[in-house]
Amino acid sequence: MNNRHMLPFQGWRLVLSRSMVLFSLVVLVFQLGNLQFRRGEQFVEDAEENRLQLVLSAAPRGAIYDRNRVPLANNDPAYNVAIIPALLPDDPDEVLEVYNRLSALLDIPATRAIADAAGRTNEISLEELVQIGRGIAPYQPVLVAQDIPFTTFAIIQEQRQLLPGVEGQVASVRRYPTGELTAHIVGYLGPIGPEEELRLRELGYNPAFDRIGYAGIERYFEEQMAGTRGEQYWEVDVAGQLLNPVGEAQQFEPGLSVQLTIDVELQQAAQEALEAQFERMKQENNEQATAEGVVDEDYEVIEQGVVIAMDPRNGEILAMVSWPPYDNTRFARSIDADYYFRILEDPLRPLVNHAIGALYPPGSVWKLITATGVVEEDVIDPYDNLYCAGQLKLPNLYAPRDERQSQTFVCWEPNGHREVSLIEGIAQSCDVYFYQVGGGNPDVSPLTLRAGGLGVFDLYRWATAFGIGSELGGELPGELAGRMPERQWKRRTYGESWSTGDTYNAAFGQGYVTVTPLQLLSSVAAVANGGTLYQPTIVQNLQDANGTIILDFEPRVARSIVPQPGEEVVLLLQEDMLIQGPNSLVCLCEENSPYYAEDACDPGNYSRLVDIDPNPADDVTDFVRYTVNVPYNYTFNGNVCDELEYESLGRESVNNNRPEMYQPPFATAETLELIQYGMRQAVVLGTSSEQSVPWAPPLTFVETAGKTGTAEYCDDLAFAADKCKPGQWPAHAWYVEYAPYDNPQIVVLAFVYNGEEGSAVAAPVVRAFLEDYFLIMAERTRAGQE
Amino acid sequence: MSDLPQYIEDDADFNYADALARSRRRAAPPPMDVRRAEERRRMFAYGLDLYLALTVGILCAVGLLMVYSASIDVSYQMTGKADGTTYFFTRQLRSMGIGLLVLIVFARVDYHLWRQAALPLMIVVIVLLLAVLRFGETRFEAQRTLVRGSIQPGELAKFTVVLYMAAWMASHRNRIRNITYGVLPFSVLVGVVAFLIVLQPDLSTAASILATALSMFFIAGADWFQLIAIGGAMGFVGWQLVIQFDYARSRLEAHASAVEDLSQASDHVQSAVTAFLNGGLTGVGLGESKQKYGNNLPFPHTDSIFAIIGEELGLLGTAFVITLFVILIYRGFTVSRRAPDAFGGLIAAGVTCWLAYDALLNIAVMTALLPPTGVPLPFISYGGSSLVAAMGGVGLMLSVSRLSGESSPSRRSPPPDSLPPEPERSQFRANHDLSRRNRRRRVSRAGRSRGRS
Repeated sequence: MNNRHMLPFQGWRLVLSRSMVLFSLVVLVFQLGNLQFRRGEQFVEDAEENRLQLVLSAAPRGAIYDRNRVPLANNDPAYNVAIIPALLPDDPDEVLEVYNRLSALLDIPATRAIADAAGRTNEISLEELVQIGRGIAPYQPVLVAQDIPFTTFAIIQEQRQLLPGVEGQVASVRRYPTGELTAHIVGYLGPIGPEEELRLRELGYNPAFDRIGYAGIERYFEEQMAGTRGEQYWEVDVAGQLLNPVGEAQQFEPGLSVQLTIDVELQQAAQEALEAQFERMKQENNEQATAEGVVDEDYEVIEQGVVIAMDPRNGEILAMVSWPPYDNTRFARSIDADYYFRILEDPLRPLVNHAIGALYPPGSVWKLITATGVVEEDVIDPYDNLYCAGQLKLPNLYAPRDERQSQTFVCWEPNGHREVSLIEGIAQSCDVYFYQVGGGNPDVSPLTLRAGGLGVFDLYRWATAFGIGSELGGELPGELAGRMPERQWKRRTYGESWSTGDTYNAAFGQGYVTVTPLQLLSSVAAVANGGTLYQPTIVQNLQDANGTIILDFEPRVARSIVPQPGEEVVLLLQEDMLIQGPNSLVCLCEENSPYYAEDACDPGNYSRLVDIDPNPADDVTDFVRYTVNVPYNYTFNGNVCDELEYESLGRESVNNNRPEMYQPPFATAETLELIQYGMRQAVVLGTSSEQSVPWAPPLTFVETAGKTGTAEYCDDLAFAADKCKPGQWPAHAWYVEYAPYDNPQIVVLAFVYNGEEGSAVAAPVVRAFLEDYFLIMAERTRAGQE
Repeated sequence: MSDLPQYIEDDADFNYADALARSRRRAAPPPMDVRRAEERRRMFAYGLDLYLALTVGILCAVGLLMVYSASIDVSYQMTGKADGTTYFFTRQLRSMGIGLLVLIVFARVDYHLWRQAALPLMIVVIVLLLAVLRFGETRFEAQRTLVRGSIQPGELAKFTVVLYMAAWMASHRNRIRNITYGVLPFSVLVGVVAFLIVLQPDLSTAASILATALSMFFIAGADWFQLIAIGGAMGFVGWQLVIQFDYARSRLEAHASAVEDLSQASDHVQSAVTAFLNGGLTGVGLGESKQKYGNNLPFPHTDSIFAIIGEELGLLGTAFVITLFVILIYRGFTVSRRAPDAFGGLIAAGVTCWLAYDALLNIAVMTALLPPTGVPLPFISYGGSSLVAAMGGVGLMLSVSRLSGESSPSRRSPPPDSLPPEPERSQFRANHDLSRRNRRRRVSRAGRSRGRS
């Protein structure tokens, strides 16, 4: 062996190569053992799954009714034709004959050759359909035609002897009898997307066939309306033919039906009132153009608007129109792709329910909230007058004596309202009055007006109490929370400190304030009904297939603004969060909150104490126990728990010489009566009186109270159209009115996008609707009496 | 001391006395007629590496048996006759006969004889590869065969590349680390062959050839930088090719999903795995495989034969086959280690690497570790070219082993018909350069000069 190490490479290089190769082989042996043993068990399980097939029987989806049981969504049979490849005749000629017969009935070419000969090259022939669909399971029906006319279906059923292998199937499709009118409320169904496939498959859905709710009630009550599918395991052979049922069959349970609070007749009236207004505006625009020979370049009618009617006594929504609508009947059977993409790209966003899913500046309607705060916080005696000269100069903070550097805030009435008290301020919608009570005026004696006015922090407390910045929880998906700004928010968002001018803007519902129409309506309803902010609700009850009520939706108080004796105090989740911080319900229940504790999250039994003693000096503590309202199906994913907000607003409380705990404000009934009186005066002699709006005078047979709003805006649409010129921004029109004044039973809000003036544009909508409302009610009473 | 051969770094137990004695002996060549007698004796002497021969013999026997079992259904489909089930078996038997003949010839003849034949053989192979591209039959979407599918030049190329690389590197060993003499010609030579095979397209055969060549290059003494450079270049080109060829990319993608979930794997891999599962520990019994019927498992007698072994003979069978390969590879490297000269050593190492990589690739594909690709399992898969080439390679190894096994000093003198003896001095210097100590010194010197400047 003396020649062993003769050459250099015969050393470590060879050893290394050998070890690497041999090691790889060892790895392979392990993999083999792994395949032949360990995974064996797993594959046996899989094989068992292959042998048994779960057959689902679809459960009928629940219907949707309006409050008078008019159906808004129900099910229709759809007739489909399928071919079972295994049952077709063996002889190709006979198969062709079957195809030909079917082709004559369904107008689908029988074979490729025939299709080509007829010039229908883009269509797939029956033969090809079967070839594509047959796969490895010849007993699996291949769907060749969907939703055929019933007569054709009947003919196919008749000719079964002549059409071996052809099977008629009856499936269920959705029908929306009211279509566009209720599309935003009802929503529509769509196929199950790949993201949701896994989750829904676990819930028993079949992603290939089942459809789920994509919007509106269809989505919000998907779980309840879908029902439970029937399940039965079957033994199958390799061709996919069902052989024997295995185990117990589970019967399907039909889905629950939803009865809404919506009244279709009122919905119709609301929509007509809004449409009529659009027509009027277009007509006026044209008339003006023809009369003056010039087209007003700056103004065009943008047909977007909202009308909502609510019962202020319980928060039930009677009508909710979001314009422009979309046609959900075009989504009922299958999504009409052209139509879908067209409305998806429409800048007016017809698919969005603007009543809850869009944010706008509230304008002067907001003054009702400011006014409540002003009276309650003793900013000014409501009967004391402030002077309105048509504008207010806010001196520059750094050059207080330089007139030229001061900022001017104007009133909508350039001549000014002269001496104005709170009631006149609301009735005439005097902006200057609300600047002063909102942000203070150093020129007015502190004996009359609190220095600094209400201030942004107190305004924040009151706006929050009225539900601004909170999702109120109407049973519709896609609700937005709106925003009441405060100092820390501006610093965080814009990196700027809060200025008095910001307070002025916030005091009359401009600047950073945004709300949804439903929120604004709810807050006005709370004023109208004497201090209870109801959770807006659109659902009366859930019922089973026989009409038995399974779950009744009682009116829910979202916030008691005026605590009623004998009733427990309810605060909003947002306020609870500000008071309790990490210990609040949302922080315990929201999964992405740092304080999430699954065990401690018990919305049903949640209640906490809050000290509402406004004077910390006298050592008297006055604790009030409160609960919170958690809406039905609420999932705690609204990100209400916000450490930053809790910390910063807690400090704000300390700075204002208040106890460290955030103070939820409460009003007295007298204050709200004052506000209501102001709204009444607006209708009698103010901004929405007959004098101001002669073309749409207040109803004569019933006393009403209302508030107009004209909210300047500059959003993407307006900016793109180059309409945001300084000093003359475009404006939205708002109007809210309730009736009767002394015992309100309905409160209506109209919002017209780019409507320019609330009193002129939105008030006619509300009044037309109210007139219809009382007419319909009277007719119904008469019919009931007969 | 400085004149002593510097193998110390590589082999601690280097025998100085022997090395010096050897050079002294070399100085006195034996008389002419004695040499001729010696030569004749060596050409036909009886000296067989029993381990190697036995292992290969058993492998061939197992292969023949399994080809018979696995090809029953495909043979029947091929011939369409009830008695046609031995179609592939008889063809394999014939190939084996040829292979055995080739093996005996290569084992008997002194391997140095092939040193001169390497270049012509290489040219023949390149011509054949070109012919395939021009005249070859298209089977399974690739042109890989000549003469009605009976010759696969790709398999012969493996053999030839090993032979040629061994001859080339043995004569250029001292210059192998030089870029111009070492890396470039190597890359060009192997690159041309691999490129022609890639054009067929047959990425796996090309990869196997490149891997074998790279391993030989490494064993012959390439330094790490060269290896990394060549390996990196190969990897890059390979990656580009995979991207270029749709079939390769789709297979890679399919494999990526299969690694996570076997049920996502391609049908081929799934049915292979099914076969292994059916087999379990002891298998369903020889000839009882179900996967081989009805094209459940594609190519049951060629690429997928390992899965059939797994199904019929179980884990025991597959482990047995792998053990045989382990012995073969172990023995092959031992032959290389004991080879009398660089040429022989490199031949043995090259043939071992080639067979090892083919076996590894095939088994890894079958066990779903690598994306599906068609590499035959040496000695076992059906396929004449592959079998004959592999047996030829083993023949070469046996020849190397035979010549190293007999410890007569004269054996190590250069054969009369080979190139002039390699100059030992320069060899030493080359190896001196290779030594780790030297490398270190160079590096530290560089450091010092940097420090001074």
